[in-house]
Amino acid sequence: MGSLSIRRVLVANRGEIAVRVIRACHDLGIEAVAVYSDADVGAPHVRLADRVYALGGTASADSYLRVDKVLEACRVTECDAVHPGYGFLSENAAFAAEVLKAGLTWVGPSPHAITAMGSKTGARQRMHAAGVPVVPGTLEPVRTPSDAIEAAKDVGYPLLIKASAGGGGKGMRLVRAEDELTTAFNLAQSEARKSFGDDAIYLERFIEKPRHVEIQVLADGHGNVVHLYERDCSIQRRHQKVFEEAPCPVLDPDTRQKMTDAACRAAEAVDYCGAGTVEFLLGEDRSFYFLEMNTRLQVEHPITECITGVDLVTAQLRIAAGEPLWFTQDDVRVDGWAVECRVYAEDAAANFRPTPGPLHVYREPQGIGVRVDSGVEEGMDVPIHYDPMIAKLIIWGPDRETALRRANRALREYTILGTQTSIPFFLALFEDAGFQAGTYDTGFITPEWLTEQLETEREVPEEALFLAAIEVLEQRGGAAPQNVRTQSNWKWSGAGGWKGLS
Amino acid sequence: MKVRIDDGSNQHELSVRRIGEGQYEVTRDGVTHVIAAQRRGRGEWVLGTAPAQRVWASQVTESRVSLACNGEGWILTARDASRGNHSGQGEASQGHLATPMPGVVVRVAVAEGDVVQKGQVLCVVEAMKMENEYRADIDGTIDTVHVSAGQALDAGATMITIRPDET
Repeated sequence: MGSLSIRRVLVANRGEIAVRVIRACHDLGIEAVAVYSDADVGAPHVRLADRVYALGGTASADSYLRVDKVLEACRVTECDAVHPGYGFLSENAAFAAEVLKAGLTWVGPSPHAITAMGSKTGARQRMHAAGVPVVPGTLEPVRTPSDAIEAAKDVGYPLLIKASAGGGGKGMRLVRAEDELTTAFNLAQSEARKSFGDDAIYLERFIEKPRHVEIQVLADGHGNVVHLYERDCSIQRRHQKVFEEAPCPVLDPDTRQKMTDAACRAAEAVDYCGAGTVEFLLGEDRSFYFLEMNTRLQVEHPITECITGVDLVTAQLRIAAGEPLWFTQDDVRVDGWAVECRVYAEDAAANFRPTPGPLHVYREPQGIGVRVDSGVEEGMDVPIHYDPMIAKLIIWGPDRETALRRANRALREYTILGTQTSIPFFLALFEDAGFQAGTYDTGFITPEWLTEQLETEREVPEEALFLAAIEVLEQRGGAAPQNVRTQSNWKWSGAGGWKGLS
Repeated sequence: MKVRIDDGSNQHELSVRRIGEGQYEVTRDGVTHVIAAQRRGRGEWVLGTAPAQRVWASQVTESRVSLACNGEGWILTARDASRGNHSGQGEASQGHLATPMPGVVVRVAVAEGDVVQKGQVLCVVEAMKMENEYRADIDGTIDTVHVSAGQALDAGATMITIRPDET
């Protein structure tokens, strides 16, 4: 303990991932500094940190995305390292370079590696050169709708329009025919310009019924690269992951070997250092294609931790401090099955419409095999300014069936009052025979599926109506009438009764 | 007491009366139920028709009632309807374009006086990192544009009203 060269880490993030990183720091005997926006003064990551720094501002662009403010926080709080979490500045190479220039340790890969993988077109070219299979598509950015129509003739339909600097589904559009291309292109370009300040767009063949399977890698600064097997993240809404499991339920050992080899080659090709994820599309024919490399910690990293026993965040910190990897590929064993449910403040039945609001009551599940990584507490609001995630429910079991049954059990232990959550979605998902068989793809969650599966969920049970009525009565004083007997044939006959109701 | 409950898609009318300690009589759709409901602390109730009872959590803020049971939750609007307190519908009527969630206007594609057709894009609003197109739900003429690009909107804000074609 305390032998690391890092002494105090600034956690440049919020929510559950800030909490996760603070805990990892403390587990290593390192101090952690939290930064927070005006909207987050009551958030748990602020309490858990050893020191805190107010960034001011509320919107991301005025707070967590402000490079100058975060660097000032490092200086004022005398940090010697920065952990960016995921999102926000985590894949901002210029920020990483500024951190290094200030003489601090950057808990992540080099700015060079971030840049190399950050441009999707550049990354595709590099991966192609490194012998990692890529989806057919444009290798150069496309600038205008007419260029896109030309390029699409080679790429082929259906195709995806993607923002070169993008991620998380932003700026992404599916196009099935040429006449849809111009509109979709313009929308994607506008979103890309606004979200990333970069409107470079590329086109990519759309692989029908693909699964999203990604490989976790860890690389140290001494040339060692290991993988920690795969995660299946095919259950998505709006191209964003909502449920992940590890291992992938359909991956055969041969394909797994090829994919993990390719992932390690991808990391080596950019001299990767730290924790990273190589995302692939897996076709029905077991062909797989490089999608992108996330040069940071992933939201869903805990399921890998559950099945391998490797703490990825302390690993990031130890690697950043210069330690060589302390285990080899042969030491990595997969034990059991893990799943993650991302519990959002969303109304799944209304196509996952965000429902930010107060958490009047918030009680989490517990028990064997249950881990909850949350960034909220009872009494807080789920702020409208950021991602509406409430918590990640991470479940381990000795096998898939046990893990899913346990996840179902844990979801039913939740009590959340004040906002809609995506819990009913998971309960419906677990009932689906196709999901249970593991034979799903990234197109599994459709509006039709939601309507069909959540219709009964949406119907309010009669007991809920009864209780709501009783609550209204009690709020109004609800004094019991005198001399009432609870006979079964009891009838109300006084003035102001329920005339016209029965 | 008459209580009107809105679950977001349906309205329900019930009448409720306390008939003793932890005992209520609730009538819905002409059927009367005797309900045992006992507070058990921490905002929770033991509720049901004995012996089939479950524990419910409940929280009331003005007319908003949040309920949860076995991991599932519902948010209802419930009002005392016996006081002539008629709730406004608040529903989007035809030709009346409102945003269902807080967001920022990215672009307004029409101006007042424009003739629009059903399905035509009227404006684009970014909410929760997604751009959403809002389209005309009827044929008509743009009556009022209430918003402009860059403007932040609260949930339910009226953005554009369309005067329907006279037929």
